[in-house]
Amino acid sequence: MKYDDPTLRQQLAGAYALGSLRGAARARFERLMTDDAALRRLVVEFQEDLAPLASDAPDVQPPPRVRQRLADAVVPAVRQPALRWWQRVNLWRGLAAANGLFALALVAIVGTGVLQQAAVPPAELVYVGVLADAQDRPGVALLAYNHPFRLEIAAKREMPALPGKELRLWIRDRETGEPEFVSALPPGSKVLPLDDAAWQQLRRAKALIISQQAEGSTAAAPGADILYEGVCVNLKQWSQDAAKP
Amino acid sequence: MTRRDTPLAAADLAVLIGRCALRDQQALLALYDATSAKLYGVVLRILQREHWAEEVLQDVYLKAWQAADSYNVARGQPMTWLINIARNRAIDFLRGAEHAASRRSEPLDDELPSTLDPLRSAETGGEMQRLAECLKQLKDGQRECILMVYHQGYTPTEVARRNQHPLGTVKTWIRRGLEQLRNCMRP
Repeated sequence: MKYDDPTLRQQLAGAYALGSLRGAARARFERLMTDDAALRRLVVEFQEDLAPLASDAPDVQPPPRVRQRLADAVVPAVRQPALRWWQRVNLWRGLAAANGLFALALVAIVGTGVLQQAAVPPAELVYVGVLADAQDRPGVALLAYNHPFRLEIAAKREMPALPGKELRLWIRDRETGEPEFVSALPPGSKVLPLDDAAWQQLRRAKALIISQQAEGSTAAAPGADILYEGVCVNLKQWSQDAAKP
Repeated sequence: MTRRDTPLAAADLAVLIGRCALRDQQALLALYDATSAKLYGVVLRILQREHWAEEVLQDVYLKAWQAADSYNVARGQPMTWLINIARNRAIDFLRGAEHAASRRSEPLDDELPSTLDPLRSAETGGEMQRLAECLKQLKDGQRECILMVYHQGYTPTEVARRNQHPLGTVKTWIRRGLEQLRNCMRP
């Protein structure tokens, strides 16, 4: 079958999104999607078009036992003491429920302990990147806030601090695809203040990169020294797009 | 509560999914708290059995947990991503051999909606309004088939049997209906 035929691709993508493509045909189509970004995009478009039908389903509160079973299945660490600030459930409940004020909620919950920004104007989380290593394992989350511009760094594991090496933050330009140096990352830093120029770089970022390179290196690109890389999502732009009728 | 029509809700969910990718278990529970009522409604509408829906709902979040690191904006809005996981898991569940035989013969749970009013929410939400307008432009048979597959997880064969139409006709209606919907939604 000629899967490069536009009409056929559209038909299959629609059937997949609707749910009428079943069995071996569905499995075959999923394999095709794996290596075909344009086909995945087509499916997403159909899914987005049809999504209001599902969103229209009435909300039904599931029994509490479902949540408990889920917690038992994946949350062995829930009851452990000394959770890190971003692991606290109240934080995430606040984020999910704050209806537009989640960044304020973050400041309120985290308070002076981490951000030390008690008197700042309303902060907005503008960019998010979840960066993965070469094996595609997520390792670092980068959250960029304005008011004032800053980057919060949440690493799943401590990033290596080797003698004579330093960590560097880069963007990958959305137009050229080329990496562009932003700043060095001090060892152990959790918050990196950003100047206007760095913020402008984020605006042009398709992806964020953390590399580890020799101190003083003048390399214009991270080359093979990339530790982590991940898509940079502009949440404000995304929210505006989502709000369009 | 899910607020798909609230722009920042998408950002909230995206952050939570990102945290799930970092294996933050609390973020998964927060994601559950924010979206489970909607997703439970979705799977319940397909499965029509509460005990099946509970099982599938848990499976949906485990799947989201496992796949969170593959999520990105190119895969659509976070709620759409979750809804697709939910629909796929519910449909897979229905296809399971142990359930397929009994699915249509058991009585439905009394309190669950068993009828469809596809245009019920035409008055709410811009996206739904637009989709409702496009659905209205389809022939009755096309619209009915598409909604039966989407809402209740029926196969084209099941739709043909239930509505007493030839299978070929149902497949054609679905294919052409989807094509018209796309042209209407993305002119």
